[in-house]
Amino acid sequence: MWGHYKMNMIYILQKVLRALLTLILVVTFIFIVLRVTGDPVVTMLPDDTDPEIIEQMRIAWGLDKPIWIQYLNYWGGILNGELGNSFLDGRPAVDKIVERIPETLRLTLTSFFVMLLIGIPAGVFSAINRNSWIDRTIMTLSVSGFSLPNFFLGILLIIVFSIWLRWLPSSGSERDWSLVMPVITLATAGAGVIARFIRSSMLEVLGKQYVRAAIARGMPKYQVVCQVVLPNAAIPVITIVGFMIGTLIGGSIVTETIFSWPGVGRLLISSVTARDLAVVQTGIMMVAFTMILANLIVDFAYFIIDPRVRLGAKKGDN
Amino acid sequence: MNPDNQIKETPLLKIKDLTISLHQGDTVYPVIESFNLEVNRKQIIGLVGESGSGKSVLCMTAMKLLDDKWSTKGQININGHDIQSLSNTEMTKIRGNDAAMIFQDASASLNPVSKIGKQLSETIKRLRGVNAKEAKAIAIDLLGHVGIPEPDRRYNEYPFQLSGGQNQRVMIALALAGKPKVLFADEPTTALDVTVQAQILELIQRLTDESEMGVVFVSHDLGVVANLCTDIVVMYAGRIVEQGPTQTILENPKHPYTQGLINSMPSKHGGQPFYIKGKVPSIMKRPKGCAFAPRCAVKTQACEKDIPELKRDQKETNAIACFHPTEFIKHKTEQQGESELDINQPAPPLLELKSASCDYEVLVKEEFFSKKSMFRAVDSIDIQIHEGNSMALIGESGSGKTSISKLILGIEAPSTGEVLLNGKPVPRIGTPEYKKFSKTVQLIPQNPSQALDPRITIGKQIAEPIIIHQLAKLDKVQTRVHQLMDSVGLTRELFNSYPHELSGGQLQRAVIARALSLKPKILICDEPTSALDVSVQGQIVELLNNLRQKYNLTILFITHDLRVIRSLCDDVAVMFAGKIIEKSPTSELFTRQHHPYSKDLLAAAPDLDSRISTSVTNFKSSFPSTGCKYFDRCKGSTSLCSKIDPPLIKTDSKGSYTLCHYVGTL
Repeated sequence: MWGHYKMNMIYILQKVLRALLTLILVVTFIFIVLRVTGDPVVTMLPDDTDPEIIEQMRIAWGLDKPIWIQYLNYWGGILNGELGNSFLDGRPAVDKIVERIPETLRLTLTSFFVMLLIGIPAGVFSAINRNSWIDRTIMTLSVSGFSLPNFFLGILLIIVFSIWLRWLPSSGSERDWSLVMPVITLATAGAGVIARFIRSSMLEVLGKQYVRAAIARGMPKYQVVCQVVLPNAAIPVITIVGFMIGTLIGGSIVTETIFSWPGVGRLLISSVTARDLAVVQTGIMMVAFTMILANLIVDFAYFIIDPRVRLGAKKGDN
Repeated sequence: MNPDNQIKETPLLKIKDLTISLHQGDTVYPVIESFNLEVNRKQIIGLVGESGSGKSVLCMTAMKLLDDKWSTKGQININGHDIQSLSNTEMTKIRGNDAAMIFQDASASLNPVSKIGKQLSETIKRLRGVNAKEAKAIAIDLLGHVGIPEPDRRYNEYPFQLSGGQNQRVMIALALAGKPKVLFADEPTTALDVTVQAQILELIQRLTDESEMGVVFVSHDLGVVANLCTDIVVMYAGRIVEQGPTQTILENPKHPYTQGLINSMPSKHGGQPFYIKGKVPSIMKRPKGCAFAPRCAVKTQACEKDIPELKRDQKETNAIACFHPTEFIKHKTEQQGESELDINQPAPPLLELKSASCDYEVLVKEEFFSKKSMFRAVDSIDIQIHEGNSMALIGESGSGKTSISKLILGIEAPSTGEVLLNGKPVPRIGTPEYKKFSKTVQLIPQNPSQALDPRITIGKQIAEPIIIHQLAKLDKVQTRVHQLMDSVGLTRELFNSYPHELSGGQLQRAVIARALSLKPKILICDEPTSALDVSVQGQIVELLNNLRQKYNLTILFITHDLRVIRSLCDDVAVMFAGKIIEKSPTSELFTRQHHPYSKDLLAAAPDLDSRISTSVTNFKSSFPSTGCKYFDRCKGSTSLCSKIDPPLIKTDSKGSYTLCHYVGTL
């Protein structure tokens, strides 16, 4: 089937180039922000440090050179995968981040799928049973879901399930049930938002003439929903799902801290408190890279799901 | 139709004492009342009436497609099934197998993200119980049968890749997939060009005969119904007011409403000389007696008190619901044409297009890459319009009519040539000169509801241009708006209404008032009546005609409906594939056409008096690159036509011309 679709190379190239450009801008922005907020050496060393030592450190870190050379060196470092060493233990920042990635992925990916698995069916059921008690219940839950801040929901879960009922572990990632509460904390808001968007998108599509036409030729209800309504309703929701990936990454920082989850998020928080600049810088870059990648995937998802994007819609061709 | 045969047959569709009501809160509004109808094999019933008469609601009820805000009393029997007693699941089996439906806008009736072949073969698989491979073969066969060229290739295309006419053919194929006994067709040709419409009507007729279906054909266009249907049912405000065989209804209608409808039909020969004043009452405000009484010329007290019953005549063929059936007097067309004589002054034209072209950049798909390429929508066109004159621009969609209006409005810059107003080039939109220019030229677009802001009152929207251009002091603005509303026939009470509270005709009046607020010299009317009912169309055309005389307006009227412009425009320019292929005075074009396309266009327009003829079978979406663009569709084309561009031939002394190699011989 796939060979049949002639991939529109320009579309793909355009999206990839745009993603690269965004990446360059983000990396530059990080450089500017970290330089603007003050001299890293002064920030890191105690206030009563000998000016001579400060000067030595500046030379050692290349901070005495003109700003554009610093900028080029900075890029050179990034391209070689050298983003500096942690100030706390002297290990490369990249290593410190990379070893935490599997745990963060375990949390965010699980949350992502849980979010879709709850959000999409909930939205579909709501739309089909519009204005019934099912619809109202789902929508009330969805509003409360995305209104509750992550940290609040997390603490609530810990109080109920760890402290009162003693069913689930409150911290760490080693035990079988460790994943449950962090995932619920992280996925709830997204599931609520997606349910609402799927619902309104479905309702719009349900009013379209092609749905009525499908019913009029005897298509059973579940087929109408799955084959006609859902694929059309999904198109605008894909954008939202892209945004939700961003929210997940942001949310994982809070969630990991609450549940002492040994992921990138918690490392970032502790590095910020410890002013471990190299690690913070690398972490931000990784987060930005993930976001850009997620949005690139969303663009390609459009490409696959919507033939009008893939084949280039001609308008007004009669 | 032989009445003896009808009695023996059991009807395919039988509707008895049907009442359909709409529930809003605790109030129940009857939408259709005491409705009876029988449809037999090979019978095509034309259901006519203005919008708001309940035609579509009836079809939707018969297919059980309405939600639970609607309730039904009475009996609907399709092919022996009493559909009122069926559950939703059982009804699913009736749809597609016993009854099918096609809709107005076919392009909106097909799932946009699914290939037409897939949609069709899945339907066939379900309705005929065959496997996927057989279903595909049947689907391709069926696509060919409804006249889709290259069905093998089209099978793998998406609805947006097909034209409106082809999509309607696909819809018809989908409806026929389960070999239904009854077909409901809800205005299936309204959104199409006349030439395409003629083909679709022919297709429906052929398929009705072949598959021995019964068809209920909903339309507001009596011309279409006259050409296609065996019988006519005229509806008004939810009731049948008159029914009978097509011939007798058209030639000898007895009900004042039917007579009014027939007289307000714009015709190719007389334009639109008459229309029924007023509008269909809304379901909330239906009168106590005969619903048509407020608009009726022969009403009496009895009409306002009681509802007339639908009575059959002695022969049982015709029925009428009227206390005062009258003899039909066909409205005579007044001959106009005297005013055309004084335009021969050599004054410079107000608006002039000098070999103007309009190119668009389009992406052409190739193996892996899309290539940018230029598409010439308007191809070096010359138009001159003098002050106070009106010109019609006619052609099918895609012929470049709207691009010309964009050139004149400065929305697009001419790729070649010039567009001159009073001898000066038209400024581009966004330039500082544009504000002054915009006072001279105003646009009346096709769909008035999209041209008005839904959240601003009518009065404020009419006032807006006056304030922007500082044409009146702030305390005088309201008086000025009131004057404008008077002149377009809007009651002043509507000043504080929002667009959704107005009818389509009223909205178009508001748009016209807003355009007139700048006292423009030129009005560009881009299909201003095609979204409206015939009776309303007549009112808007008459309004434009009055305004034109009152303010000495110059009008460029863009339309695909030949019949509307007869009474409004002095000259007609016929467009095909970006070129004006014939230009002549209106009265002359209607009597004598020089270009074969003009002939085909006139022949395809539905009319009460004459049969539609469809000569055109070869429909391609692309045009030949050399020679005459009409080559593929022309009956009399020769090898000369395919090689050399047709010359411009003058057809009289007054500037009429046509582009054809064989003027006078075809």
